[in-house]
Amino acid sequence: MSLLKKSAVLQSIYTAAVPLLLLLLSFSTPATAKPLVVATVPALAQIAQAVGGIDISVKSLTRIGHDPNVFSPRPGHARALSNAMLLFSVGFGLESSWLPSLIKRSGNSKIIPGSDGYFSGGDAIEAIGVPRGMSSQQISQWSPDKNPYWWLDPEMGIKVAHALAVRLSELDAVNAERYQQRATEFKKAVKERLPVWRDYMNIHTGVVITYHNTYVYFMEAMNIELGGFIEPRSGIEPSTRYMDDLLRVIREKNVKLIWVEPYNNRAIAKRLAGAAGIKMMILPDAVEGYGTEGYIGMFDLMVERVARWSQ
Amino acid sequence: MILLTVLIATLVIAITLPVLGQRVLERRIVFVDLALAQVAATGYAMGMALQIPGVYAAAATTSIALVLMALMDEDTPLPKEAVMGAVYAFAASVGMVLLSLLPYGEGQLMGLLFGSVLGIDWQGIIELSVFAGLGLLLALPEHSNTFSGRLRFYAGLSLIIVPAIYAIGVLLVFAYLVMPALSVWRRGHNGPTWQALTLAVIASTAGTLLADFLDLPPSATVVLTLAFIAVVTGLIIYFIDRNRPEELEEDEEEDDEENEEEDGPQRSSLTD
Repeated sequence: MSLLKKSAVLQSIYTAAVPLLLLLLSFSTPATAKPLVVATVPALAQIAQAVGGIDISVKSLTRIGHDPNVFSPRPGHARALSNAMLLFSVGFGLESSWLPSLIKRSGNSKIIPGSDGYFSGGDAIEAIGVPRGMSSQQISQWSPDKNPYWWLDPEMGIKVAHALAVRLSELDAVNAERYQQRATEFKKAVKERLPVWRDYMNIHTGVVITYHNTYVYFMEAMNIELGGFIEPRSGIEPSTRYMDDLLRVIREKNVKLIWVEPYNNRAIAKRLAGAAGIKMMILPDAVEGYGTEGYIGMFDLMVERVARWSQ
Repeated sequence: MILLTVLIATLVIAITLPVLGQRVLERRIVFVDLALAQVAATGYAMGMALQIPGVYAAAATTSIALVLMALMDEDTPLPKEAVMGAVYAFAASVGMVLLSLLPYGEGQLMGLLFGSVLGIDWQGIIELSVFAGLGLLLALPEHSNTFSGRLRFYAGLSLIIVPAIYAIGVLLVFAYLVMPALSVWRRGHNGPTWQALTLAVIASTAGTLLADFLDLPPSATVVLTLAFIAVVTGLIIYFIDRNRPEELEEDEEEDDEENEEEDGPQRSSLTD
């Protein structure tokens, strides 16, 4: 009797559970899921959103404030990559310490470098040359083909957005025209703001010293002269002689500001600023926001912050 | 100007850390400085996550760690280095998880764990000296293997080590804590403190000036200079010792007698 009762209860549980399970599965893997584009840094995710719009979904592996040079991926990042149609990376070696192993772990053969599902900004643009205002000693430490921070130049962002639109069109031919159209709209929106940013920077900025070479593209785009880097080789402590040389450069070139990335050690920059009697500021390399608005918002914030600290 | 602050900062640690290092070697707890620094950094990260001032959170976690470490008897059958290593690994892992959740946490925590001697200014040197002075006052008085004695020693140690690592980095602190004391170490015992201090001061001066002259990173160059001088001094001491076996044996016998005299009352007070 009790056995009969048990089997009846079990049957009713099955009757209720099976449709519920099917319903849940239908939500988790919808038949009409948008193609997933995974970007390595937040600014690239914004460019992808600007070009892909509602036709794709976009995820960024690193978040605002993470140093993309030394990112530690989690299993969730490998899972995200396993479903990706396209992997959008910065290139020029920025993610070389962690991205290759992450791609391997994802098991997604479509996003291997060299395949159609892998798109690197480094393949679409030329790295900039030695920036203006550098001494011969600094030039010898400069690697022009290695600077990966191209997204901080709005014009580089436009070039890469167009190349991305071409790649998305190849992968998703149905929406090809929409990708091209959005890339053109992105270009128009960024170009409209560019003169405003340049005007602001011309008024407010003189020669600037930065911690690493992160902002060189931004400085080139905004016609800002670079006085030097505090740490010319990433991760290698500068010498006392080099620091005293920087103090001389600060005096000679009337440098008023030092820029430091949000994720870098501020102690040395603070010390140099204190010794020279100038200011040190943290300059973001990404901001919250979606698509074109987010990308433009990053430059708005950078320009506004530099202008405020330069006063 | 930067050269001068770097030189003074390295001299401050050259005067304070070798003395402390001898106490650390004596107790076989070399990993304690890394463990304490990591606990403080993790506390700072917890403070950021809970939106309370990081310094207070770091002080709180370090105090808890101090009490827990002080509960462990120095004659414990547990391998003390393994316990310190475990504390370090645990605190580092908690810090890493917190770091992954915090925007902009990375830079602040890196700054806290890996300071640079180039980043220290005159105010920093004064703070470092004050903390070092207070720490030595607590850590140097007579060795007592009681809860209060151990707590006093660990508190003194953390007062020196944590601000020093924050100010000048883990590389220099660890090197100055261990190398001079190790260099003058003789037959299972600490050597004369003046020898450890002298070689540390010479290494600070020579290393800092050499780094400036050769345009090299000061922290690593000072550590390399210290290592070189420590090895040379160690070898000289070794050969001098070897050439005077009788004298040393006599010294050793005298030491043993003294130790027996010292240990006797201490043991009885502990058993009381």
